[in-house]
Amino acid sequence: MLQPKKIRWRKHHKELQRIRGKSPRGASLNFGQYGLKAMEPGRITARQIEAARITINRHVRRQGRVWIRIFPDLPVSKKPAEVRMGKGKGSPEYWVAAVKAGRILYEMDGIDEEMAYGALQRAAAKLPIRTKIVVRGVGR
Amino acid sequence: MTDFIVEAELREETGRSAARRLRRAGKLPGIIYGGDKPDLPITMDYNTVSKLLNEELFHTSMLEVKVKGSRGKNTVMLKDSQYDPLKDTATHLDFMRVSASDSITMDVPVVAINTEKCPGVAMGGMVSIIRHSLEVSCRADSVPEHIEIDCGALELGASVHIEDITLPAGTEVHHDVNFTILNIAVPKGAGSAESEEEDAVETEVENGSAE
Repeated sequence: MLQPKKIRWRKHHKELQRIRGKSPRGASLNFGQYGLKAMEPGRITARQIEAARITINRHVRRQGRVWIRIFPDLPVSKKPAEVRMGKGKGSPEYWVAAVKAGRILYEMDGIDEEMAYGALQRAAAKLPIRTKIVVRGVGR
Repeated sequence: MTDFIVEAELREETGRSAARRLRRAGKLPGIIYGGDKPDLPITMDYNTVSKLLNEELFHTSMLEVKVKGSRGKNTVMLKDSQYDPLKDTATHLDFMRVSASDSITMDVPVVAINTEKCPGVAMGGMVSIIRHSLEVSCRADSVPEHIEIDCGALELGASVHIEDITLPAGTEVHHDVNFTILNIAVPKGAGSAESEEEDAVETEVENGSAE
């Protein structure tokens, strides 16, 4: 699963400013012909990114190329079960990518449209947010 | 000389809230600048212009903008277009005044042709375009609609670099290094017994690196 190689601080704030609003960056296709775009903001865990990636690769088999445009660089901490409140912040449990609405999540190329739509629809089912499939257009 | 004529009106109000009011009313704000003349904020009908934006030639050819309430002819080129990240609708257009003899720099899309005849593709490779557009310098009246790259004779693993292609007459691409435009990629794991999860060539892009 994706996670940073080196970190400066083990625990972070929720950093909601990285989630709220529309994405000014990463909102257009830069690599492939087809892409999956987030239609609402949210936090996508490293497990969900990996699950969607595996789904895409299973569907396209030996064809095509896939780009992952998000990276889970925000640690989420959690207190253990049956522990009283207080005594400090819990330990890091998993990593998430903060995603604003409009962000491109995955890109694909080297396959036909039908297969790309099939793969991206299946990948979208693994993600906790609404998404739409976008195709490279004129001037964009 | 100009295939496209855009009808526009002078825009009196500028700023974010005024632009939002215009968009809600079915208008599209824009601006005309350059050519040693003052900037001209304009507004256009969204439905008309959005159809034009879907035509490739609209992005690379000289246009005429007829502004109601303003004298003189505005011969321009579409310099920049902004889109809503969610709806993918145009939110603002920048037009730059040009004359036919001006030398300009524009992004022109790259198109791969004869991919069905490509021997590399027949052997299981795929056409992988590395540069989807090239920044070309040419006269304003001779900007190519797109740059075609013939893949008809490319073998598996072959690459096309900027110095390999023949550009249309009068067009040049400034480059320091002989960068790759496209290649015929060999699928990862082709012919081997690797697990299917690892078969597709896959690249992880760091946040913001591709902006």
